[in-house]
Amino acid sequence: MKKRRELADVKVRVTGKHIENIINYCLRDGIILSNVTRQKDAVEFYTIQSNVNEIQEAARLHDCEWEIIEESTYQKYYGYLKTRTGFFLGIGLFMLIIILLSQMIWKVEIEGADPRLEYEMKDYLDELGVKVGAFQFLLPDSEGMQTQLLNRMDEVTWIGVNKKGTTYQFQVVEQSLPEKSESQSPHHLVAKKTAVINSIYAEKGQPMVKQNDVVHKDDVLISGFIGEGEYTRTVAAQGEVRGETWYKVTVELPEKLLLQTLTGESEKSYTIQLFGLNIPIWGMNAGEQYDNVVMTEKTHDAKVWKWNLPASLEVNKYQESKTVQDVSKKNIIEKSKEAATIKLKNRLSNNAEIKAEKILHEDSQNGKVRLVVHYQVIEDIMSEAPIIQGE
Amino acid sequence: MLTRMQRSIKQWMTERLNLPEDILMDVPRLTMIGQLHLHVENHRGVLHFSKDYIRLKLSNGELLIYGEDFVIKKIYPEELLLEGIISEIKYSTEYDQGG
Repeated sequence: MKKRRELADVKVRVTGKHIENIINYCLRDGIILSNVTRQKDAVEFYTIQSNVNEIQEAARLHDCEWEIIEESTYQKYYGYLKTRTGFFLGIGLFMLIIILLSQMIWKVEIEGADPRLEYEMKDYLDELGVKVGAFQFLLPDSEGMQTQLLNRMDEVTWIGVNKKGTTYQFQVVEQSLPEKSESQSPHHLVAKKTAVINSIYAEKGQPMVKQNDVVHKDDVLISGFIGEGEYTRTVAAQGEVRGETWYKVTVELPEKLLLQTLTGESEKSYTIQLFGLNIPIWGMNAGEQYDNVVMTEKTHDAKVWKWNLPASLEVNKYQESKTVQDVSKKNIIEKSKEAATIKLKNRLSNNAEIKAEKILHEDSQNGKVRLVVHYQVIEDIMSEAPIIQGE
Repeated sequence: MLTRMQRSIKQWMTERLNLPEDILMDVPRLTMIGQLHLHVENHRGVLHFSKDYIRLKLSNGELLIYGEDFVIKKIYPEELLLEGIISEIKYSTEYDQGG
């Protein structure tokens, strides 16, 4: 039979004359002995660690000597553990950290939402506690989160919450409301201003003009009456009418333009900022070398991952500049034309396009250039005119 | 007087009612596997223990076991498992009785 040892078993040797007495004492006390072997006047046996005190007592009573030959496996490993406390503590701590970190949220992804909604949702999620660095076990479960989000966000039809390891994925389906038509009451489409029709497309209603027709303000372009005779009905006319219109733009610019140019000379100065203190280290008088300077400032922050350290390097670049007068006439006219175009574009709607431009008049007086430009523009010329019922 | 009566009642019951003796009567039950193992139940203590000779106390008398390389594998208050090469088992009783 193999010697089977329990973890808590110790090997004890008792030496004395009347060993049997000790065995009997143990029996009476209910102490279980195993693997009892007899040497000359000693007995060796295994017993559970916690019984050692009673054996000691028995040995004392019967004038025997006792000693522990082998410590229990448990105690051996306990000693081993004790001498390497740091190591095992480290392993424990490491495990703990790994587990803790794996329970944290490392990423929150929102899919399918436009930037505004995404921002709004991030705000809500922040309130719910879903943010990078939060613990997952402190959060409500996915379904609860889903209903909470759905209750709070009106513009969303459905939110899918998906947890993938340390990442939370939110799939958003936005509510697409049908576009509100501005007015459903019957109306005509009339011209906003005098124009030549460039293209006409009637979606609803009856077109009243053709391409290349000249229309004046308040002429009906698409009529809201459809059908003939008895069957005439009124509808809200819809469609697209683009017409060619004309604009005259006058701009005035000074003849001599002042330009600032860089000469190419530059100096740099370096400053270290520590806890709000500025410590210049190089090129302290760089800025005083030129009369006219353009300064560009660049700050390099010392960063550890995402935290700013209270130290930064500031580099100031001083570039010499000078002012020159630009007097070429061609240049000025081009500039003026550009200015005129910009001026016009400010007045036009987005879908208008400039077809042609022509300088009508150009003169320079008292150091000023005056430019009159004529533009041909193709733009939307519709406006709505209600049909008054009972007419 | 009383103990003698008790004993006779018990003996009568085992004979008449067919009950196992080792339960009713305070006698040891020995189980032996070849010469290798001896399992003693219902002992009352160890009187002598050495490598080739063990004397066990019983409720009635003693049990003497001779052999070689004795090791008590396990000893409980009323049970004992002996390992070794057993060559002889002998009862020595005050009364002429045994299990």
